[in-house]
Parts: sequence; structure tokens; C-alpha cells
Amino acid sequence: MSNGESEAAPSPEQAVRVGEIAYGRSGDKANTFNIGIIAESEAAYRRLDRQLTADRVAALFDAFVDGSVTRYRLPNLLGFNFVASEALDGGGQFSLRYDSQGKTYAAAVLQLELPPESSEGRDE
Amino acid sequence: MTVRIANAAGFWGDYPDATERLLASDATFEYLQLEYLAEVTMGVLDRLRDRDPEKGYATDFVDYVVAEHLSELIDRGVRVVTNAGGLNPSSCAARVREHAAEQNVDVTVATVTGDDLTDQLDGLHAEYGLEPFEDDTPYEDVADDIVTAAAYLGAFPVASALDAGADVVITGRVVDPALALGPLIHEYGWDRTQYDRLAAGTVAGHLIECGTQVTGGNSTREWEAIEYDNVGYPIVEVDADGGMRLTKPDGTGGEVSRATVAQQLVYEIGDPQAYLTPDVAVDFTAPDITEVAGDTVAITGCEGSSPPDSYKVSVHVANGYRVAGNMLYSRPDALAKAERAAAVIESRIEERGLSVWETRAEFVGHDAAHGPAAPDRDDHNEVLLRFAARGPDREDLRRLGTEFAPLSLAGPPSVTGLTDSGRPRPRPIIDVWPTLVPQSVVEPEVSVGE
Repeated sequence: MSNGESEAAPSPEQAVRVGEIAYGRSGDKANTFNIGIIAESEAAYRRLDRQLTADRVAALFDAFVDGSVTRYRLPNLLGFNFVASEALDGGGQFSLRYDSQGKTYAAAVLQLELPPESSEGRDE
Repeated sequence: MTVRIANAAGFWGDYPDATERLLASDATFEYLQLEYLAEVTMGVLDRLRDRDPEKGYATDFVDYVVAEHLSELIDRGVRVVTNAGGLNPSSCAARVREHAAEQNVDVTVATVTGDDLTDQLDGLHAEYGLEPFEDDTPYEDVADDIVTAAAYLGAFPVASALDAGADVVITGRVVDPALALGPLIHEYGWDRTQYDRLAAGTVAGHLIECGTQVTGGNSTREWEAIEYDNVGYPIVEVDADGGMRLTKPDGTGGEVSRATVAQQLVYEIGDPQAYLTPDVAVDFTAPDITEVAGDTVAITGCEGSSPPDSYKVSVHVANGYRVAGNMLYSRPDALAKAERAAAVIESRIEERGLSVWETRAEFVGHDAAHGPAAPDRDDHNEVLLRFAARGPDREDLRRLGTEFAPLSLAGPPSVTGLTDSGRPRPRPIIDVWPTLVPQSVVEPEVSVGE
């Protein structure tokens, strides 16, 4: 079995955009949005696990989220699900946002830049 | 043996010729499943039924699937399962029977109802105390403005309709995966405690319920390489043991890969270890996804456990009005011009004393999609101002709608776009108030007729 480490994987000493090591999709349920992020490799999954925290995602969306952001792991997919509550300006028909269902929000996470990691931070 | 279920609609608004494309391909399938009811669609259906009591269902199903293809579907032995019934399954079924008579085909049509709790809600609240599922808004705050309330039914009534010989099953509100799990329960005789099997059928349904979104549409992974012309609608083949393969017809665009399937698995879910339906609690961290051939992915190892003892109910509530209009500003300084225009509208609202709860100015090309997550920049070729407001009074929002056009003469320069928008009109807001009711109070009904 491959351990998922590909030659193209950026080294942890380099900054990386989430979209270079993962892909994803977002959507809504009433006033909640969720963002599923799937890592391209096991190394990417571990790096996202360390760096793409619920707090990081909550800070990105800032005033869009009145509730909280919870992160769930899906190790079978090398994935994460971020669920943001009270986060769609009332959701569906009530929301005044153009993207009232959060369909584009995954793209915002994929644009996030993860800073270089110190080797200390990678000890597992 | 395997059971093949194709999807030909992921929402009301999907390609009207999806069924035609599937039938023209060389793919074979025993069931055709069509999903039409997004949360926002229920509000639309309510308005349609208000205007005409015979409406309130997804007319696309009747106009593009039944009118054009019913006889061919029946001839090919394909049974159809859809939630096109919306708020009015019996009316939808009546239209299907009319078309069957016209096309001279012998069709057994069934409806699945019992989801409509609108008239029972006050009583249920008195007895059980309905709690908000999401926020803190108490029932008393929404009670007077309820327009419709529907429980998300499970798959067993759908299976019963098929057991009774239905060729076409038309439901009201059911959980979307029930449109696939129902046929599997019917075919394999799975019982209510075979949770891993029920979980597999639920995963199958969840994967195909959004149509082409599992076959390459919306995939953020290497999207440049995906062919978006004629993206193939999904077909899932499910075995008696719950193993399954997801694929699409040969010769179609799109892609079926680990990536497209994984993205759809996480679409619109909460806690992945507790994907809940009235039939089963599914663990989405259990299944393995493997690419087994070109555009074919196997999903194995689904696991489930006993379902919650409640039904989720979507209560739809009238909650004021909303209006949105836009103006296009060009370079130089497009963003600054659009911001000034928004400020003018804000001050005019105040001057005229228009009653609004909230306003929102977004700048398309700058922050309309990502809001605070969008990076700052100031060198835009052009920016579309989108200004939206909501409030309690329709007439005040109608007046607000007259504030856009004058800006083409009286506001910041290099503005255009009136031919597209003119005076935007307010629309009623139908809000969603989700809640839970005990399973025992909901009685699904299956009605089968020629």
C-alpha cells in the first residue's frame, strides 16, 4: 500500500494553499453551512489535521458565523467536515446574502494559506 | 443480482432533458429516481398552491418526464420514484394518470403521504412541547405565521408502494435517500433492523440524490479537465449485501472518481458519524471508496445503527418580505463608486422612513460570495452593486425597489444595467423552523391506484 506521500507533496517547511493539497464542497441546512474538505494524501491529511483547525475556519468566516464551527474527521476519506451554526444570515429564503446557501464557501477554505510548520510541530 | 437505480433530477431546476439523455444512452436500470424538494423549494410550492389549489407539486416531473417519456419508461420496465408530489402528491398523481390515459399505457400510480403535519402542529406542541432544532426561537413566535409543516418520512412507505405494484411512486416530503432505499427494501426484503443494509441504501441514495454533482459537476479537484457538456447522470448498482458501485452512462461527460464521490458524501451533512433518517443512523466514517474501473467507483463497508425515535419536521413560516436590486459600475474606482451608491440608498431609506429589519450591500466581483473571507483589493474592472433588504412591510420594500433606477442619473458615474433589473419587486419570505416530533405521531399513508 502507498502511504500517500507523493513526490509533488509540498514539504511541511513550505507554506501551502489548502487547495494545493485538498479539494472540497460546501452547502446548507437551514441556517447551518458545512464544508467538506478532502485531502489528496495521508501526509496532507495529517497536515490539515494539525493546521486547518475549527478555529482557523471560524476566523476566516469571522462575522458570517454567529454560532460556532465544529470540525469532524472522516479518516476513511482523508477528510474533514466543518459545520458552522447560525451562519447563513437566517438561511434559505431569509438570508440577504447572494450566496445564501454557502455554496461557494469551500472555495474560500481552499484559498487559505497554511504557514510553514516547524519540525517540532510535526512530531507525532 | 444487483439493482440499478438512476437519478435524473437533483433539484427542481435541473436539466429538463435529463431523462431523455438517460434513455438515449445505452445504460440499463430498473429504477429512475428524481429529487425535486430543496428546503427553499417548499416555500415556492406554497406560493404556487396559494394561487391554484391544484398546484403545489414539481411540474417539471409531469411536463418533462411523464408527458414525454412515461410510455417508454413503462415499456422498458423502469419504475419511477420521486418526491415531485411536494405539497400536493394527489394532484401530481392525477396528472400522471391523465397522461397515462392519453398515452394509452397501463400504469399503477401510488402516493406516499402523511408527511403534512400543518393542521396538527398546535396540538403536537400542546402535547409534546415542540423545541427549535437550530436556534432559540420558541414555537410561540412562529405559530401564527405557519404556512406548511412537513415531516421527513423514511423509505419503508416507498417500499410498501412498490410492494403493492406501483410503477410510479409520488411522495411528499421524505428524506432524499429514501427515494433509493425504498426500492432496495422492496427488492431485497431488508427488514427494519438490518441497519448495515439500510445504511448502504441510504449512502446510495445520498450519493445520487444531487444528480450530476456526484459525476463531476461542482468538483473542485482539477475541474479544468472535466467535460461539462452532457455530464452523465449517476447510476448506482446496489447488491443484496449492501455493496455498491456508482457509475454513469458510457459516452457522457463528467467524471466518476474517488474525488467526486467523496465530495458528494460530505455534502450537506452534520456529524458524519450520525447521519440520521427515520430508518437508520448511518456512520459516514465507515465506508471505503475505491476506483474499480473507468468512471466506476465501489463503495463498501457501510455501517448503521438504530434510528432516532423522532421525525425531523420542516415548519415553513411566513416572515416578512425581501427585495434585492443591482447596478453595474465600471473602472476606474468601480468599488468606490458602488460603495457610494449603496450609501445613497441607505440614507434614502432613512429619509423616507422605510421600515426595514436589515439591509446588506454586496459587491459582486469583490465580496458577494465570500464576504469577510474575501481578500481586500481595489483594482476591479467593474463591480456589480447588489443591495438587499428585508422588512415587515411589502409596500415599504416596493418603494425601496424604486431607489435603484434613479441612481443611473443621480449617482456616481459610469453606471449601467437598468435593462436587466429595472425596479426590483419584493417577495414574501418563507422561513424554515426545523423541529422534531416523536415517530409515534406520524402515520405514513400509501395509496395505490390505476
